[in-house]
Amino acid sequence: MLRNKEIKIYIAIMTLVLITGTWVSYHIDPLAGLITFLSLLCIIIISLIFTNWRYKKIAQLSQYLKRISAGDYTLDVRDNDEGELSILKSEIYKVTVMLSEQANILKKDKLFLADSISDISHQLKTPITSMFVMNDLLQDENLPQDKRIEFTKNISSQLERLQWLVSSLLKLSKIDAGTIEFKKENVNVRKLIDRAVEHLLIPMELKNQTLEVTGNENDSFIGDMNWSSEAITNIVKNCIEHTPDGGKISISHSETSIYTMIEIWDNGAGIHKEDLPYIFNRFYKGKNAHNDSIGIGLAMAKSIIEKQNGIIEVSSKLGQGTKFTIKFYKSVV
Amino acid sequence: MSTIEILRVENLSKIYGKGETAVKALDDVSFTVTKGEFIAVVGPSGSGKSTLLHILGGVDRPTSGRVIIEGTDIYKLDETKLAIFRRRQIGLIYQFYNLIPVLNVKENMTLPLLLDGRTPDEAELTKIVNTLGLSDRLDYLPNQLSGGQQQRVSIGRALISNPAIMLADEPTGNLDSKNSSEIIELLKVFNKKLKQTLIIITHDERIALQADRVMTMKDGRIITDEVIRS
Repeated sequence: MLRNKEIKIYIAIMTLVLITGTWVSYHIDPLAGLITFLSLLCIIIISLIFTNWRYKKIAQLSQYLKRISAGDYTLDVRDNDEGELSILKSEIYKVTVMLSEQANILKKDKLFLADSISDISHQLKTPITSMFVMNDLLQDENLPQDKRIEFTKNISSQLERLQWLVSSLLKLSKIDAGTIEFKKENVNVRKLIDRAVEHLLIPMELKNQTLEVTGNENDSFIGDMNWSSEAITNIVKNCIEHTPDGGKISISHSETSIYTMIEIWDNGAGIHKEDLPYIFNRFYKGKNAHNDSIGIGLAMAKSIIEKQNGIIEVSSKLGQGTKFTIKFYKSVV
Repeated sequence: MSTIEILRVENLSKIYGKGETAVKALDDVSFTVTKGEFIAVVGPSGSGKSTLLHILGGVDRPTSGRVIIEGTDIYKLDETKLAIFRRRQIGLIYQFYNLIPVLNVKENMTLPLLLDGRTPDEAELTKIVNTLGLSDRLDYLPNQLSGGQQQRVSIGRALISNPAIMLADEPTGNLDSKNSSEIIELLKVFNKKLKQTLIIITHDERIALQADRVMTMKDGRIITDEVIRS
């Protein structure tokens, strides 16, 4: 305690007051001088005892913090009393909880990363193996011309798949790592939807599906047009894939004082209840997934939306269709 | 989802009255809640929902059983300590807002901090106020606000001390459907963005379906406990 500068000043001032007080009252009456001296001395000692106690508590807290920094999050310092020290303890405890949660998340992330890498290598292996086979076949000089054309076509489609996979993974990792700067511009929802479905109109026509967009044309939110449109495209694409020929995809949007909402739903196959909680997980393939589906589109959509202060939810009934609800919140908490 | 246990309820029972007229409001209820969960408790009136919430919130003592919030067995604390614990770790939202009529919006919202003798952090307050859409209402008294606005103030009050857990008893029971969905949205924003653990009691199935986990109560027992999204 004594090594603290303010304590030295504190003691010096108190001693000064003690001496002056005693001296002044001694001149009034020697007995008064003695009484003043003794009572002032008592006060000084009491105040030093309490200060010492406070400093000890502070030292305890730093001991506690030291143990936290060593990774021991199980301690609880809260004592639920009135006063600043107790508030400090309670606040320190809240930070501890937050830190231990982050430590947990970090641990999970590591596991997730390991899983992802094994998933990715698996995804890359499949087209590579198939290209190896094709390549071996192509080396046969007696291969008829039409087979040769078929195999090279097959190889180029595998290459396209690889290219798409690699670029999507790169995008996804950039989004997750936060290295992508999302613009904060006013995005008109109708324009966003028009743009997102632009390239999907042909596949929809091929499947004879109809698209219906409803909502106020002035609805908007603050976000990034390009990335948001990528997210919407992925979701609509998913709807198209899981809706039979002649089905219908609907999009509606609305805006309230709290959020801007985009709902996208189809009248397709629906998603199994067991799959529902996981469909936004990377590489997750549900029971109804297509063979060539990889499980990246929805994961990417979710990341993009969440990075823009939004949430995405899904509800589905088997055989009746699936509904995605996206909400972009207005203010950042 | 995180794995940190925020709340653990062990064999909670609450009996009102004695002997012949005794009523079992809660009958051996046990469950745990991890950080960031959004739970809806549903069930018919008289099923024990509100009793459960009051006991979780430290406002009504159980007949037997334990409530452990962030490692503290709250009913082992004496009244004074429990009151302080509540102020710092529990955010309560009531159906009828329970705002103090003579205090303005800002004072009502920062009350838990003021009671603790603390000065509210302006930056944090501004963020919460903006999200709640109350920035131009800070000097209003509760009776100058609509029901929805009053409930938003009480959400702010529940949130200001950054509690371990937020409990809401029929928060939309007194509101029209537009205001109801606004309140639920706000609760969801705080749940998702701040990882605020949230337990809400409701009659409204549409509200319950917004939660991550739905518990159904009947005759003082939890009869179903279902995670509907993660």
